Amino acid sequence: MTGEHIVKSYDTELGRLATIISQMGGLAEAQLANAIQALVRRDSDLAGQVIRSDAQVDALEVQVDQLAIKVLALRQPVASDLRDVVVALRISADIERMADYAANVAKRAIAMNAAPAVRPVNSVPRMGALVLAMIKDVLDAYAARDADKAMQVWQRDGEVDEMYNSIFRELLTYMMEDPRAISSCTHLLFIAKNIERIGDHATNVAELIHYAVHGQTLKEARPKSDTTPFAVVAPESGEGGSR
Amino acid sequence: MAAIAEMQSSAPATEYHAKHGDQGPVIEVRDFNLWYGAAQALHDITMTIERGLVTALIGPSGCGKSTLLRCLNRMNDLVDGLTIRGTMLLEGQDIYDARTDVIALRKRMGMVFQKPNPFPMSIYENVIYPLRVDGIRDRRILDETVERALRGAALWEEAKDRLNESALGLSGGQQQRLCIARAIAGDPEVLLMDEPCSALDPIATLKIEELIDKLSGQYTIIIVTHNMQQAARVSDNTAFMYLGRLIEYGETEQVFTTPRLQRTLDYVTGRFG
Repeated sequence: MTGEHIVKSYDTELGRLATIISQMGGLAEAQLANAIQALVRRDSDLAGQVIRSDAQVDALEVQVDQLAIKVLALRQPVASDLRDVVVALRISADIERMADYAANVAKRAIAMNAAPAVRPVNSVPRMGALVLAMIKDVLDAYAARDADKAMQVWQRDGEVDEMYNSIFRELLTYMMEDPRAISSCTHLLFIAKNIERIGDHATNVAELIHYAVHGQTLKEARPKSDTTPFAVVAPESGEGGSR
Repeated sequence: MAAIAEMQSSAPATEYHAKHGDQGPVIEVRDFNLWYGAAQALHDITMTIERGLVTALIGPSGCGKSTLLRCLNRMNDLVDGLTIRGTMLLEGQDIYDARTDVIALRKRMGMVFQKPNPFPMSIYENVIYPLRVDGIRDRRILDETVERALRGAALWEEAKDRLNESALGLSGGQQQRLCIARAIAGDPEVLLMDEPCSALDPIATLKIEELIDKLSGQYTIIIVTHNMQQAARVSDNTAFMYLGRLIEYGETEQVFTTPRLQRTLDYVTGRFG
């Protein structure tokens, strides 16, 4: 951000836009943290609270839309101001999706509480902690318009993908070992996928910050390493074919 | 201090020339300086105006954009105490050469001013005024010119049934389009427009903008405007001037989306001063 506009109310509106985005981001972050807590502690009440709170994030997204449209119509922003407004619209959509995924995690946590605990629950919170840190850092980067910090978040998405890969394989193994775990493990697999998707959205936000600051879209390819779309697991033939 | 240093490096403008210089410029300005008495109004302006495109000159009041425009057809010649140094070429021909015929030069560059200035005569006579000056009397040529110029200026449908009525009876927007018709009647190469819409209402302004869009390609247009949105809408290239210097010159889209210099960014986003 550079100096102030001659028209002060213009600055007020742009500032308000950034404030709502930060609020949304803070809420989404808390939603994910609570959803993971609900999963770990098998706390269905907390999960229910996460599901209900999703409406707050949605309401803030509507506010961002309305304010952004007002600024576009009344101020006709150009250059860095225009990017700020366009980026605010897109970041709010990303955050809204993050909160949706957090609510999904909470829903599945409730479903899982109806069944006995599964072992690998530990690795999912670890991945959750990583993604939470990404959300926090990307929001800080947004508030400070710090493209370098945003790029550090962007780099971390590959790590999340790798954790997801290992959880995917781990859960498949459990399911093969014990068919009674299939229901819970499937929920857990979706939870892991939801958290991985939240990481993708945080990465989107990082790219948008880069665009807002530099005026150019990022040319490099994302550090992608989600290999699960290609994973095939079959019982190994040597391992006692007990049929 | 940083701002002054920034202003003095007109690097983007130079880069722009390096990139576009070979596309056949209509006008070339090189190291052009101008003083009103002791006060220097233009500092080392170097720029090329590309053929068939619309070039907008923007900048705050007193930045020298109108002075620069008026120098192009030597409208400043009669100003007392004026000193110039540098070169301006129209199609490679030195505008300030002692042998240049100023009247002939101005025929090659039609000019439209801030306030519509129709002459107190009929619409018809206004349009053919440049031809009258040339002594053309052939009625067929005159009639054809009136229709061509009025059509060109998007005024034909409104004016064709009242060609012999006084031009002063037209609305402000129509008068401005009449002035554009008069400017193009002599078939100039370049149209100079000095804030052509500043005295018009928004709808008349849009009509002029539409007209500029229609005329581009056929004519090279240079427009001075205070309305940045207008510069963004109508021009292909934009030159940003400040305190008599050319700060940044580039494709309009670039200047308004990702200006290279902080001062340009501050101006186009309304943070100036």
